[in-house]
Amino acid sequence: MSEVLKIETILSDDEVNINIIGQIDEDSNFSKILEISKNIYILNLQEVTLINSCGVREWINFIEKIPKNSKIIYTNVPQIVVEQMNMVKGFLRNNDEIAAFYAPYYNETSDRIVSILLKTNQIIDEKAPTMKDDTGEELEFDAIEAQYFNFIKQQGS
Amino acid sequence: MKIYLNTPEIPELMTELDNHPSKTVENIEWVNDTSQADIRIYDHSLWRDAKGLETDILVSGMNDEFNILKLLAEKPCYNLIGKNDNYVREINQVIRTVKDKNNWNSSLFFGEYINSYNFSFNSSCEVKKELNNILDNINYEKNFKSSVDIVRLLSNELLMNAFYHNKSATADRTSNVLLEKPVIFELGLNNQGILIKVTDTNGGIQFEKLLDSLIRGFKEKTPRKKEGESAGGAGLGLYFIFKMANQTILNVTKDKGTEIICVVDANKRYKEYMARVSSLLFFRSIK
Repeated sequence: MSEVLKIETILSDDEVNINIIGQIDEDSNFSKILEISKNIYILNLQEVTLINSCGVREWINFIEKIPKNSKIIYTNVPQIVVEQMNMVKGFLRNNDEIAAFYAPYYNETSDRIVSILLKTNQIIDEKAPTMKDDTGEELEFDAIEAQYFNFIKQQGS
Repeated sequence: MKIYLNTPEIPELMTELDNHPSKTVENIEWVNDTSQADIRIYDHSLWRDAKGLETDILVSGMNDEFNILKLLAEKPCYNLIGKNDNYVREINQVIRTVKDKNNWNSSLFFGEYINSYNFSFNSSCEVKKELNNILDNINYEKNFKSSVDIVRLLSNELLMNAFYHNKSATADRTSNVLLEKPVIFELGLNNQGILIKVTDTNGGIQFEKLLDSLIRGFKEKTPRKKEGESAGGAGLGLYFIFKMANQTILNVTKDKGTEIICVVDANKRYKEYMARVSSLLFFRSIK
């Protein structure tokens, strides 16, 4: 067995906040989430470290079991999950939403790439928003916009 | 060595191949007749003229999906070179390997390692327990920040593939697989990039099955459903591997086993990595 995927849930009236921590793979078990019934599921993927091909299958099987009239909102989606969303069909259900995700930006002065959390509504016409570092220096979006933001089209599709 | 070249930029590519620092085959004779050639190099736009021989090299800067579904699905090729920064070096590497009767040589392709790591895994359970610890202790300073995630995914998929496909294509992926001979995992780093190699002496995978899996991955882009009690693979592992590496190389050595090698080129910029078009190479060493 791989390191067990950790799932933390915080319930409130109409929604559940869920932190998913660790590796999503063939051993992942989402039954803890499926035991809950809410109108809104907010999935925080910040601490997902890997999702392999079998993990993608477990993921899709899991979200297909969440009632269709419930909404899933994804937040803090790391780059490795964005990459999988862009490679795989069915990762997102119709009417689900990605609220925020990480994107790479390049700092020319320090010659480093930094991960910046973007809100999906900041992406207009597939253009990355202008971001600056703490000193006010403008950063360069370090991906190909049409490729990186492709997953956004899957929302509400 | 006699080489036939059929690309739109014939004179420029000839000059580049003749003058490239990685050139290791001297006395190339450029011929106009495919029947006289030891190796034939085609651009994607002229692949229709190729016979799909083992000594054909297809150079295609289109995209991965086009290369697999439009080119290789219709006419398989053992030497697909995509558009990475070093594609002229890649062509030279393939020429040299074909000249050496397909004896693939990692130091020829990749150069000498500055750092290398070598592990044997006897069971799939051991992989799941140990792999992350191994990868967390490696310095990826010559690559962009998220390359550690890419290496983690490539390593995971390559190793799981080696264990479970030896057991059975329908083996439950949550079960522990113990093989007769260990699967060897090797990771090397140098100024050129990161090389990940998994060697399987239990059986390995055939090129035709690898290509079928890629074709399925690009066509469907969805995981295979589980059937009954047998989970089997999701049918996307090799698709992920090909999509995420600069080069994917399958090297089969008679009576010894199969190596699958992935190379992630050294690159500080994620954007440049994303702009690549992947290469797929298949060698059959005889030593």
